[in-house]
Amino acid sequence: MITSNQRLSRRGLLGGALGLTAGVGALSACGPGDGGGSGDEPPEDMGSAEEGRLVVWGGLPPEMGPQALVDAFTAKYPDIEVEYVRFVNNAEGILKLDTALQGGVPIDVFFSYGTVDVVRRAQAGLALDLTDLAREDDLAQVFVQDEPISTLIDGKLYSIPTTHWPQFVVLNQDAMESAGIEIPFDWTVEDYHRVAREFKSAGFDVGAYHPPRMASTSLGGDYIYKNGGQESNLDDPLFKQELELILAMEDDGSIFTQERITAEQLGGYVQNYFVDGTFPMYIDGTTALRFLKNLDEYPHDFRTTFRPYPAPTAGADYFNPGVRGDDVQISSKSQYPSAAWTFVKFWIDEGANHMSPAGKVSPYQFDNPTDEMMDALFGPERDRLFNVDDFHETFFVPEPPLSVRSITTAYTEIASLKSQIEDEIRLRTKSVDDGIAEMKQEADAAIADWLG
Amino acid sequence: MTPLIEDTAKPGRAGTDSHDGSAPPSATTKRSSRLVNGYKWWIPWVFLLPTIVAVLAFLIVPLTAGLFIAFTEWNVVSGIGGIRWVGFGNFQELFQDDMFWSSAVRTLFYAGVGTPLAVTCGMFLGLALNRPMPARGVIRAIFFLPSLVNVIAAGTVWLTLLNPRSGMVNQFLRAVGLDNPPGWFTSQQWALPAIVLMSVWVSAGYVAILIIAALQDLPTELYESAKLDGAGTIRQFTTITFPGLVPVLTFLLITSFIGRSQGFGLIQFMTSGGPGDATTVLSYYMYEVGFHWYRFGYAASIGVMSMLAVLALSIALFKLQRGRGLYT
Repeated sequence: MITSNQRLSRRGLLGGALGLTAGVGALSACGPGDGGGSGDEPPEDMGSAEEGRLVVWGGLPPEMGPQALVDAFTAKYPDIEVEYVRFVNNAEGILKLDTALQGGVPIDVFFSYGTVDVVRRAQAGLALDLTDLAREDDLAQVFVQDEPISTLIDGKLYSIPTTHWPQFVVLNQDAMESAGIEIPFDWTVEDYHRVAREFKSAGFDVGAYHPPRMASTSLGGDYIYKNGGQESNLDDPLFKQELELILAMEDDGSIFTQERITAEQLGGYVQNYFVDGTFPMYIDGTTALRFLKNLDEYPHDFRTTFRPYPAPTAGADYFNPGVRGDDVQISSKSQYPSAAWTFVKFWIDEGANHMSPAGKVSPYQFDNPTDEMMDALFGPERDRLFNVDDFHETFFVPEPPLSVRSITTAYTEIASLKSQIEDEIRLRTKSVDDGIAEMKQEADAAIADWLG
Repeated sequence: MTPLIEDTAKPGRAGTDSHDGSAPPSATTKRSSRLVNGYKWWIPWVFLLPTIVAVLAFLIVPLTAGLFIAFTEWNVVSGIGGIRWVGFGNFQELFQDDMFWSSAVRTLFYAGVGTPLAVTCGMFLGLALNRPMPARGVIRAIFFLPSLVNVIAAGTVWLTLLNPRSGMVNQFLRAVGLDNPPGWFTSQQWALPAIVLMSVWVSAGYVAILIIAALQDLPTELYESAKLDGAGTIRQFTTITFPGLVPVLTFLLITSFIGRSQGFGLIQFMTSGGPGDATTVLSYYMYEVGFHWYRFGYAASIGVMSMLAVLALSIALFKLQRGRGLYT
């Protein structure tokens, strides 16, 4: 096995940094970068570390934790007034935040979900450079250490990840036991496929919802790029291997066919089908716990257990496709950046427990788990509903390391065309070879356009 | 005597209110004269101002801004300062963009097949519902209902109906001996026809209502004369009814064509442009480029091209029908 940071550093991040620079250059080419505030003098700090008035935009509904966190914060810092505003984290909500940020709506702290948004907003001058603040802070300096564990832009820190979100496999333990299926913790993609077939044979509609991914787990966060972001990597044999596996799993009933997913619009409601016994296995993160402990809306009587993301091949180093995410940024136009920094640190440290009921685990909670956090994550019936020992063995492990995405050149275009062509391959209207060739060609064209 | 009359009765002022100077002054014209003499050029503009502001704010400015943005590269996040002038660069790129052309073809199919189909179905529905029958009002309302239903509700119903495995439509097709019925929304070949089918269902009732209104305006004496001359039902339809409906049919064709060319809601909800890109029409592609890829300049150039094409086709449609109606 590997240690996360060593591997990240070796494989992708040096090259990735070059690619990121290229991506950054490309982003700059789309605009001079002086529109969002980077060309302006930073506003005078009207507060102090313990005084100010903040408007915070986040994607979670207030009642799912943010309001409790804000209440706890204002109890500790009575001279900092905080207003939490929710934006829905979809295309419209993201645009709403973007336009609000550049249109002068007073926002001091905002959340960016995903590397693309973090980079875009930082490059547009909308986010404050937190590098120096982090270097001087015991809590945050981990994000500016030599080997990056989350997004850096030109070596600078513009965001703090508030969640540690590895992906893992969620399993119906009762179904496992009654079917006599043993699943080791160091299992592989091949094992995953076998287990899905066994579940199917045991009477489930399909064995699993998700197919396991091989390219992203083998190559890390920047798996769709090569040459530091100058070219797409979609011709890597792992993509073909992954697609062939998906087709094989569809054919033997291990997973839903794409046709059925499309016809029944299953995406986004995966937990419903797990709870009602349509399948006993799916891939998710700690957010799954939010649903599975809620017996009112998701009634079920089986126990849930957990296994790590399967390795592409036995004994090989690999990455977990999850990330340290839910990045929080401070607006470059904030008039209260000191108070905002106090708030950000509170969010990831002592305030994080308020977010645990929503299935969020901060990087600091991950390093220092408490009973309070576990209670909040699993709810009052944790031992009846969950195998918490297996969760410990799955979640609180350093390996495989989390992905770090550092290249974003034409990322959205490539993600979109990749998803479209994968659909066509899964619908059998395009062969794997033709689909991959088309993906590669279009992704390279998108990168070339982006780089100008 | 009011000051008004005193004032207008002054020598040299009488008659100035008359448009041609020929009308003898009267109490009424004197009152008008007072108003005209007190005329301020800006008074009409005050009344027009709300409309002018609304037209400027919601039509002229967005149109001009859209046109301007089409010649720029802009990712919105970088703010106004991030706008970069690229001239005709976006349009040059459009002409080499396969996705733009394939989306244009799909748009043409969606609007070009769906519009005449909806208008034809609606016309025959209107003709049928115009005949005397029991509970005619209720039946008309039932057929009109789909055009009032929320797109999400209608979409959900059709997703269920057209489910390739369990949907009623395919169950029926299997029952009548079709072994491999279409995959509808899950099939690249059938997804767009399925959307067209659904859109026809949504709009036929609306077309029918307008047709019924037009039918009731047709002069009954023409039908009476035709009957006296021995014209049958088909002859009456081809020589009186259809020509009489041409103006409303043209209106429906043009407005439906424009509406369909911009069709977005159904596609966004039902297929999100998929499977693959099978239902990515221009409006959806524009949305994707703008709001997912943050290339607002390029998206605006798609919008401009789309608008020009729709305008040209609408003018062509309008010119085609000229002189073909009963009254023209």
